[in-house]
Amino acid sequence: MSTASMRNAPDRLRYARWERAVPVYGFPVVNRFFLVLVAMTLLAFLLTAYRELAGLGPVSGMNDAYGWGIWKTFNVMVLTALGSGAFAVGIAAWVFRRKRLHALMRMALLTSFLAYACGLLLLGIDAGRPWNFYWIVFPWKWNMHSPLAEVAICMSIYAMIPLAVENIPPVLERLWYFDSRLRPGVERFERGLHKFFPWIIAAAYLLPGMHQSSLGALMLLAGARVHPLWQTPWLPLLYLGAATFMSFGCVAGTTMLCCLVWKRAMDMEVLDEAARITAWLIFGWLALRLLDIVFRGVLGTAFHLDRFAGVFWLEMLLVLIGGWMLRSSLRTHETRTMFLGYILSSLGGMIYRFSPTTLAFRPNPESLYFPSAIEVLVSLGFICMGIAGFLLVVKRFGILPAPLQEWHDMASYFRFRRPYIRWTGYFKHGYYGENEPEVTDSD
Amino acid sequence: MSKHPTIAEHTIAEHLEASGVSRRSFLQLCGMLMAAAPMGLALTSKGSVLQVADAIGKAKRPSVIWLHFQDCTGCTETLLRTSAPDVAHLILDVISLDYHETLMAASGAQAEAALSKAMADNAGKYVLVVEGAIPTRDDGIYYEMGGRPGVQVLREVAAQAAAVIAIGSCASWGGIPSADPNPTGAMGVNNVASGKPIVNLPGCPPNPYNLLGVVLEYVTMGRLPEMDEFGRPKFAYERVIHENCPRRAHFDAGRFAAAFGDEGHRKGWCLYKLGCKGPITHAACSVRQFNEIPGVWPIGIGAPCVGCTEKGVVWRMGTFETVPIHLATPPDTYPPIYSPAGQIKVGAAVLVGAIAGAVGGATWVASQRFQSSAEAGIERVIVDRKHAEELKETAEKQIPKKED
Repeated sequence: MSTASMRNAPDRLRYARWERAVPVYGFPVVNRFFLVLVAMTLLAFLLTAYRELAGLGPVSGMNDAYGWGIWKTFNVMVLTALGSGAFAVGIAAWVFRRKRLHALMRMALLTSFLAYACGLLLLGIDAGRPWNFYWIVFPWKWNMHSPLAEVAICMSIYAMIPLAVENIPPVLERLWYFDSRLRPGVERFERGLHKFFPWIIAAAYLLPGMHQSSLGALMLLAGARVHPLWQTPWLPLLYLGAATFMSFGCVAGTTMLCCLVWKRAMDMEVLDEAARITAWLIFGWLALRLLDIVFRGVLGTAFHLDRFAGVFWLEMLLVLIGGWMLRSSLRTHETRTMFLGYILSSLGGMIYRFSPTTLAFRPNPESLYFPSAIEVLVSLGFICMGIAGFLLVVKRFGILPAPLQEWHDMASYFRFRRPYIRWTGYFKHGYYGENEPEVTDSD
Repeated sequence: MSKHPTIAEHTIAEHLEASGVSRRSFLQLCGMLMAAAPMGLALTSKGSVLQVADAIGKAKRPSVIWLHFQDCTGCTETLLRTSAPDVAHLILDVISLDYHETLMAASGAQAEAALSKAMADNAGKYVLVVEGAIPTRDDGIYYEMGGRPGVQVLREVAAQAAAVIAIGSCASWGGIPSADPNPTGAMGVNNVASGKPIVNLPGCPPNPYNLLGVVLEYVTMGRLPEMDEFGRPKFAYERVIHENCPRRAHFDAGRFAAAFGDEGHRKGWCLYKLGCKGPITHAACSVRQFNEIPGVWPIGIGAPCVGCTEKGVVWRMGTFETVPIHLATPPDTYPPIYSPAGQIKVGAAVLVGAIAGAVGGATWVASQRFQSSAEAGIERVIVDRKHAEELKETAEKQIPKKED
């Protein structure tokens, strides 16, 4: 929004408020883009079957020096950082009482769940010797001395219990509106859920704090193979810090993009709050990173003319420029600057999370890893699966925040413009859900 | 010798009890035997040490006659030089060693008489152990016992033996005395004696548990262990040293000591390039420790294997000559143990570039549209609200009609 038009707009329009989550209506789920996503997903599944039959050797570009391909280093290391919104936004909203951010919580929970679920599914496909996979159901056979096991167990438990439970409310809401006969049951279930919720939420903040830092600790174990600009005892904290600002970028950026695509009003107070927090997270993280490098005395390596220095400056500048753009968007109220700020800082964070595993990982001078086409397609296919799931869910459940009026508009839309659409279920029993039906469709 | 009954009338258990050997020591010996011959022997293929001890205890003490020929007495030494002196005594209590030129006190005519008595008492039942190569050139005059050529004595004693065990490489196929030009015409037992089952236990020296295993298998089960084409018992000689070598991982990873005392040698890397014959030498040295001390064997102390159990290897191949490898790399059905550095394939690179371009382009396009997005959102709110109000009015007009 240009500043001038914003200032001239009437107050009630200038400050659109996100008051409740409203499904995206009026757009079909299945469109050309969705079909492309589904096709990419199916292609990935086919290639996955091929991988299970042929083994990792012919399928991937991994070798002895690089035992971790992009399925681990990108889809898990990087994308779960983007999917830490349930952790970072949740802590900001609930623990640090940034109450405006509650409007973004459903987006955060959904993106987190999809990122973790797709990453973990791909991790299962990445596991070597799949015929031994059934041992995973015998906990007493687990190798508890493996640091990777800590990450795997922690991530799986987090995605399967706290994250899944946190995503139940939109489903309950939908059921509540779907049929009045379901309401007592739904309400009873919700009362029961509320008793457990404090524990679930506590676990939902504890577990990501553990495994997002453990991912850094894994690279700590790689020792001198990771370039000194990245290899530091603070790696776990830096990994966790990168996850926080990246996930803010993912949640707020995705929400902004959704508002753009589906023409929703943006609550600038919420977005400003998120941008302000993200900017401070970014500057704090950059300060920690730089201080660590200076005090370890490896700043000189950042000025060597090699690829490591190049990657280092690329990620530092991307994060710095992103943070600076977020700060400046607070002054100018330019949504474009804010969006690009999120994109650039998250991109920088993604490179940072990726670097110690691949770009700055040098087991020996002649080793090289570049993903094979199949690896890239499978990785992309699982991301497409996540995006397709996101599109499906936001069009069927109340995830995206909107002004309350949007809810009423949706009621009108289904009531009068698309009365034949029954399956959305939201307005079977009244316009606004609270009342029993005023009009029956008996005839 | 005279006090010692030459007739094996006692069972092993009775004799051990009479000798004051503790049950515990005997069980330890049985345990070591089980460890030394984990498979291939019917005797040790039992569930527990107690069962093995029972089987051995019930057997009669085997009468053993031990003849020396062209040897260094190393095989006898390995039997005696166990790390704990008790073990050597124990072995000598389990078997009845009725004639052994190195160990017995008698000499001269007394010794001759002892041999005759031992043969007469247990004719057809004793086990003959031969140590050393037998000189055959010039009717065997290069080695004489009691004025007779050794080869003649061997034939006589072997004729009445139940089984013949050739201990050491010399007795098995000639060993050092048979090295070129072999002036005495030294040969192994199987070239001299015939008509009796002959077990070869090559090695320089062989592990004494191999001998004990064969003898006890014979007296408890009444038969000799399964043997390979060279008459070597499979329980000890079926596999090559290379298969279970503690340095095998270095071989697979390509880490070799190139010279004695170099960095690789000090780090304990594979000795193949120093001429180690482990890949073609059939012996259990890598898993059966000498003198009950782990690591006490050539490769364990950094010396390449010379292949002492193989007739065609030791004294035939050069000390530092490397041996051909049967399987240099594992078969293709296993995952490769070493894969070279990866490479950038054009298709993958193009794909990554295309994805990055598409995502970057879409982001840029989206960001450009943000210029007016907030306005668009607000406009839509206005439009939709107006529209909704209109529709609602229309509907309210229509609904009463329906009820009519």
